[in-house]
Amino acid sequence: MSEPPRSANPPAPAAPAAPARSGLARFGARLGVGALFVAALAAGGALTALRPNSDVRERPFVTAGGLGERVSTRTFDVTVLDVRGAAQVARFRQAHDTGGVWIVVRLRLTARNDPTTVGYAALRDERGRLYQQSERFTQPLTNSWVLQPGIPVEGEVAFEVPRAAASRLWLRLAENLAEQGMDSMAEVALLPVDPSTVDGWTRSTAPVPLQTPGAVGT
Amino acid sequence: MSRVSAGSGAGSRRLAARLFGIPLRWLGLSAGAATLAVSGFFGGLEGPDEPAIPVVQPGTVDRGSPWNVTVSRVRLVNDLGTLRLTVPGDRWLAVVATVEVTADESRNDLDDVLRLTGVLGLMSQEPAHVMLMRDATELGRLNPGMPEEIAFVWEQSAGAAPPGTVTVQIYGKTYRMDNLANRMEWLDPAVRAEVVAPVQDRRAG
Repeated sequence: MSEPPRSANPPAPAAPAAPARSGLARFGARLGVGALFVAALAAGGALTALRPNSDVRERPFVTAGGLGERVSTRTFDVTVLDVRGAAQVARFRQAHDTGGVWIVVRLRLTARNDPTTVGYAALRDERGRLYQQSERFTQPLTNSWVLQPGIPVEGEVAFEVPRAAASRLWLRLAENLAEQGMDSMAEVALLPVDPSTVDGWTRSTAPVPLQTPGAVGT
Repeated sequence: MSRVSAGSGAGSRRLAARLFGIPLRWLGLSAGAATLAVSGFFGGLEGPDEPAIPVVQPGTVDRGSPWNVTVSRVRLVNDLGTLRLTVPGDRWLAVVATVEVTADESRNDLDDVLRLTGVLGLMSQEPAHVMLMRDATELGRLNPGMPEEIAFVWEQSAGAAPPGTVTVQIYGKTYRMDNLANRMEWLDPAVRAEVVAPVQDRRAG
């Protein structure tokens, strides 16, 4: 607390500047560290933004095919046999109309190596919109039917789509209803139809009965 | 004069040296406290003003994501065909609305579309049944771009007074990145509009 005795010769004027320069140097060093820290954060943020998200990284492995072709996935094979449209469909003699148009796809499914089910069935349109199979009545083939290896099963699956989307569609099938990522999926291009054909489907008044699935000979 | 000048310069250098010598944490804390104080003085610590929920008329479409909704009517009924009340003597409160999915995929969360507020004696917050008016079947899934008239049905206890009007809340969701799953999801259900509708009493007897 006591001040040192003043000397007759005052200290050189440059002496007090030394701590200021060292303070400046420390400040500069801190500024440099801060700048490096911010740069690292920015680089990390940019890398994170460029990294594909889970929707892309975990997308399904799609096997594509066309009408009449056998398309193989990890657990099942599918062949689309026929496609038709209707204003009404009938299941168990109960008619069901729609605000759009019914698309009825007849297909053959076969398990590959182990018993399996096909739980996900959807139509994709040209805009990328997805229309899952109707739940207004039971559709056992793509819901609960256990496929046995080597025993083909044929049946029909019905979808409701807007009339404007009915001209060009792709069928998508996968094993798991809730999650299709990181697993195989079949995508079958249905034949394009012109709008007049779609209009014809919507004008027909007779309900189209849906085929009950069943095993067929190999 | 030269001594005074030299002394002043030395003082400022000492002040600078002291400032540069202050630990960075103290500087940060002080700056933060000062920012908070100034922000608080100008109202920065007050809560944000909640935007008023828009009120739409019955029969008017409320557009949004992932669905457009048009509430058309509300009815009290005793009987809804094959549906069974959990407590005999209760009544059904049915809100009929047209819903069109605006998202790109079929949706199976239709029981999130509407809620009722201010109605006493409801057995559940979410509708007990979501019925397709077209054929009176239970509706689990609605496809995009295909508007359908749907009945959202709640069971109301017989002990509660039948409402004369109800406030129907229309909920929406936001399509955004789920930070946990790192994928795009429909999240954040929130009221986006309200419809005050009269209740038509269609109970038999």
